[in-house]
Amino acid sequence: MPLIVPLLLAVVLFCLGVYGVLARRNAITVLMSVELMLNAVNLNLVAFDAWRVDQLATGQTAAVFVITIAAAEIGLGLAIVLLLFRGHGHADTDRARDLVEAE
Amino acid sequence: MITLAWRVLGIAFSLAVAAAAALLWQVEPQTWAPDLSGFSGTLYAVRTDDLTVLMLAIVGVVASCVQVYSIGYLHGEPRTASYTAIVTLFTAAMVTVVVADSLFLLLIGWEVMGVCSYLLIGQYWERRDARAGAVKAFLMTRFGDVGFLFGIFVLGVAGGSFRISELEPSGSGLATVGTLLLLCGVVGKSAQIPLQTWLPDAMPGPAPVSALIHAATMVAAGVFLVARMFDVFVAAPGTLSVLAVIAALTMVVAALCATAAVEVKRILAWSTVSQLAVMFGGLALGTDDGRHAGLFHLLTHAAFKALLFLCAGVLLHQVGSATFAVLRRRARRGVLRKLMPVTFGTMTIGLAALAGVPGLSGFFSKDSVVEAAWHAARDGRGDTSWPAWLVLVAVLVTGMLTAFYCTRLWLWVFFGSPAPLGGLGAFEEEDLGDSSAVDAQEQPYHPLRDGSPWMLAPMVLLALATLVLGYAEASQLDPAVAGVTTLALMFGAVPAYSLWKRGADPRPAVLEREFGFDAFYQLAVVRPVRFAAGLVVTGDRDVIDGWVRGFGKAGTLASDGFRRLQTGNVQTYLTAAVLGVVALAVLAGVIAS
Amino acid sequence: MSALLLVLLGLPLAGAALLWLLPVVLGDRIAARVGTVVSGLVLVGSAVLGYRWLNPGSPAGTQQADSVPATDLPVYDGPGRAAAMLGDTNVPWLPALDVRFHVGVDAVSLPLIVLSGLLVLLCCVYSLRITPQAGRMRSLVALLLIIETGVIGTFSALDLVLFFIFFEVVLIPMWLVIDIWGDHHDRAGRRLAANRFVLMTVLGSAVMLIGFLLVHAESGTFDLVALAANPVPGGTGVPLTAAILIAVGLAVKMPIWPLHIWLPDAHAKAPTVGSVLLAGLLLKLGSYGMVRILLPVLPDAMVEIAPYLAGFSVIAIVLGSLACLAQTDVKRLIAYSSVGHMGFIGLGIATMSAVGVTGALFANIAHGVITGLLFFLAGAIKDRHDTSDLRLIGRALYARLPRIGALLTFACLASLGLPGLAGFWGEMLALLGAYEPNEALPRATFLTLMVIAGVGTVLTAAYFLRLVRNLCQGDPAQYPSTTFAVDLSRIELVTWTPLIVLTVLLGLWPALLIDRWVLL
Repeated sequence: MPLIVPLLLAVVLFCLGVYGVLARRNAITVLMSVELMLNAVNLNLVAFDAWRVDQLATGQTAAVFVITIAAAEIGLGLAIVLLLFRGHGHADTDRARDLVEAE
Repeated sequence: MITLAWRVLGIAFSLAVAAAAALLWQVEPQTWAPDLSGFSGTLYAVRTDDLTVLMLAIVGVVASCVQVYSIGYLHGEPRTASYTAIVTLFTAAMVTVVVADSLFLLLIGWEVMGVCSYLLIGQYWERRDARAGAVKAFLMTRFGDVGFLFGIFVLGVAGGSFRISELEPSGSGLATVGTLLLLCGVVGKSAQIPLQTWLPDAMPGPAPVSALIHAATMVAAGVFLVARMFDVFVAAPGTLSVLAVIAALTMVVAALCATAAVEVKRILAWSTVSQLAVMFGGLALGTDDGRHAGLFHLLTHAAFKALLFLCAGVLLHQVGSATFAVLRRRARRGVLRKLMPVTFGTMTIGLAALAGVPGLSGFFSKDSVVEAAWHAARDGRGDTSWPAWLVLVAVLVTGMLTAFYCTRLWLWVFFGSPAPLGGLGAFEEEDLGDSSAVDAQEQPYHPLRDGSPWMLAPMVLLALATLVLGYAEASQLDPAVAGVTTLALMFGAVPAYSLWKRGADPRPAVLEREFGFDAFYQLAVVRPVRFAAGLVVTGDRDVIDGWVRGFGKAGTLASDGFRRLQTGNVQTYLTAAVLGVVALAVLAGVIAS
Repeated sequence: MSALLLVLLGLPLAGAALLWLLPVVLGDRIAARVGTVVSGLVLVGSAVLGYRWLNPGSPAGTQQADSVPATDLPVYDGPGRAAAMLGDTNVPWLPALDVRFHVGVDAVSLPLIVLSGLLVLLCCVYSLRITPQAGRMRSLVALLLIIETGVIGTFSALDLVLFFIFFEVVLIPMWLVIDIWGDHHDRAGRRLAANRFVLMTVLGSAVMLIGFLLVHAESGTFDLVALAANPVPGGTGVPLTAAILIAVGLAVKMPIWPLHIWLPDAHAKAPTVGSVLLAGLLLKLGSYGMVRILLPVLPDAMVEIAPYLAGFSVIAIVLGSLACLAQTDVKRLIAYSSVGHMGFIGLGIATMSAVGVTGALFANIAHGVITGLLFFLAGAIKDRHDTSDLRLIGRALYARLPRIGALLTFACLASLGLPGLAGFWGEMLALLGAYEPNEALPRATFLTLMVIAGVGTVLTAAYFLRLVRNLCQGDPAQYPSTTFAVDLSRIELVTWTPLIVLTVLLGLWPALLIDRWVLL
């Protein structure tokens, strides 16, 4: 299949992720969108690796790295969201304005 | 103890000045400057000549008389040590002016005299009129001195030297400008129009101060300056005409004001302004005769005016006030004449000299001025002789007016009025009947008597000088001129006598207001300056400080604006970050291509 | 001689360090004495330098300029232009920035350095007996000594960046002096005054530094002696911008209207010794900078900006005097009078003529002496009445405090420029310089400004006489004696006598200074 197809899919997934990060209210949804962005990047890496075969299989190695780091980061992120929920009773990003500059 | 020390020092210094005059009389006119390079060489230059000797003699004798007189006048008053010290400093400053060859040294003496005058007028600083008079005197003379300083600049730079002996008289326009500027200082110091109003207001000072400073020496410094730099003034076209106009105007205006004043010292002050103008009139003629006449009048005027002020001081000291009203109330029916004979006698001599009674020194000196004016008017070319005619007419008119107010003063102060009371402007308000009963009823708290010997001795000395000085120039008297001036004397004295006989003293309002000069200055100078001062303070506070506060406010506002970026919303921050990344990527792409 | 100059720079710093190393209680007790000793040594050292300048016995340390007249005084060839620098030290310091540690003195800086030594010594002697309410003498004297270092450093710096550094050194100590030891009634007011002083001066100095950098960009060096020998030519573009920036920076310090607004507040809230040093020394940094930097280094650009400088200076004279006429606070009045006097100095510098600049230099010294005395007197009156408001002090001081009243009158007469006292010569020479300014300058403008400045002297007389009238004179029956106030005390007499003597001496013998400044 032409290279453009997985790349396009990756772009679409990335943009959906960006939209989710910037526009969704629920903190969990934001984290899910971050995951989506990371997976889109993974898809990109693997597609490039398949298109140009490499001695070191750089793309695949990088994809594995990304998966690992995504897992670590999501653990941390979910812990923060959990604390946010416990402290405020909600996980709404719009309502979590504790660090606003005082009027 | 300190007072005694200062008194001794003061009298010794004044006598030393008089002695110096005597010693220098025989010395050749010369200048001397220290043999130093640079600025010192020009600053300390001094000179001596006839004029110096004359002025030193005047200063020395009058200062000695005043110092001795002050011992009696200020007896028992506070601050006599500082008073004596300042009078001595004044004498030193006047000596500096008189011997200076460097214009800057002259300026130092000139201004120190002004400061001493300020301090001495303010001797009785508890009184409001003394405080006001002192400030007015200093500020008006200081204003004139600004022009004086600029005149020094113009003449010194154009002439190449700041030493009087090295100034070349030239007829250039620059010389006219320079001498006109010098005239500003002269007009201020000698209280001529338009800066004449400070001298009558300087009368709250002690009478000896008025005698020394405001009659004989400081105000004469202006006359001295014109005489000293006579060659420069004569050569500068136009300046002397201006001086003639000023002199003529001042003579008449001041004499008119004297006719309506009701306090002895104020009359004498206006009289001083008027007589100084006569001296300037003589100098303004531009001839050697005129200069000689002006200086001769300076000499005689110093003697009789100082005498008159000292007499007024005795009246003030013994009676408590020198206004006509109080004098007549305290001493009705000419009692003053009998109780204070020495004062009466010396004051009569002084007033006669001032009025120009034949035989006294004032007669001779005024006649010499008239004669010089007559010669200058007769000999002058067409368009340059009008100043001389102006001066001539003005001096004759002034002679009449002088005789008028002298007679008025003499009669009203020393003689009981023969007329029934209630005449126009008269000084008694009610008739208390028989004179002896009146005098017995009205017991003064201290009996009226003449002044102490300390006060009377200098007055007698000056009276003798007034009698004798005129005869130094008696040989040059022109009988026609003498006749004319005596006629003027009659024309002035007779109306005064007849008015007194009727018990009336009409004082036109315009003369009582002294032609409104003071009111004008108050309106045109004092009030705008005060207003401007308030404006500047408000401007500083609201405008300039407003800018500074505005800068601070702007900083705070900007800071407030930037603070609002911290919305607390994570997604806003992320949006900004994403936009920034996109922009950088686009920029990188543009640069790369 | 170079060693002596370096000692003069370092000694006050060492004194300050010593004071801060002492324990607080001991330090507070002996602070004024230590300060007196240190500043006395500095004064002696600067007098020795002065003597050496007048009599260059040994060849080391001085070089004669090319055209030496018949006298054996080293000829002063113009500000910064002479090769005759005394006590020259020139070592590399920051090679990467092209900055050298170059110090030296000549006829322009020496009198100012002697003045600095004298005024700081008098402040320390004054503090032996008269201490401000806030106490903490150890820190106060240490800060005064640091200010002394900064001032002497500025007067002897011959490298632009070094000049800037010493220029800034005095700011923080002065801020602390005003903020901690200032008017003890008005905490917010003295904080505001101190802040305003520092912020405005720092802004000016930053602008001035940019000017210095532009000069370096044009000429390649920061060294003042080299720059004076090869001035930056050109009256437009970069040199003009540099000149304007440097002038603005120095004008904030002088201060020139309209950048003067920090001065009245700073003086009103500062303690007595702070005001004396502020008026006597710190204001001179600005005018000295103009004579040392602007005139020799950027002559063509200076020709362009001189009329404006003269105009603003004359405005300062007139508006400063008018503002004084409406003041009710003694120290603010004297502060505005300083604005007027520095206006004359600015006018003298702007004439760019030998006479005018000499007048400005003389007026620098005279103003330092006379206004120092005035502020000492104002401080004495304020301490006795716990306020400096004329309406609250009352009148008839001649009756209550006769000697102080008399001294105040003397100081006022000196300050209004009475001939015969020190204040006259500077003003007179500045006006004479305006009468005949440099040929490149528009004479008509300067003549007009001269006339206006002359009228300004009358206004000066008016407000000083008003002060004397409203404070010293008056009916004593309405203002009874403050029985607990001592008239002139011994320490005050000791402190003020040198200033009084100098005022009269410089008034009657101006050649003492004027002959040292052989003209451009």
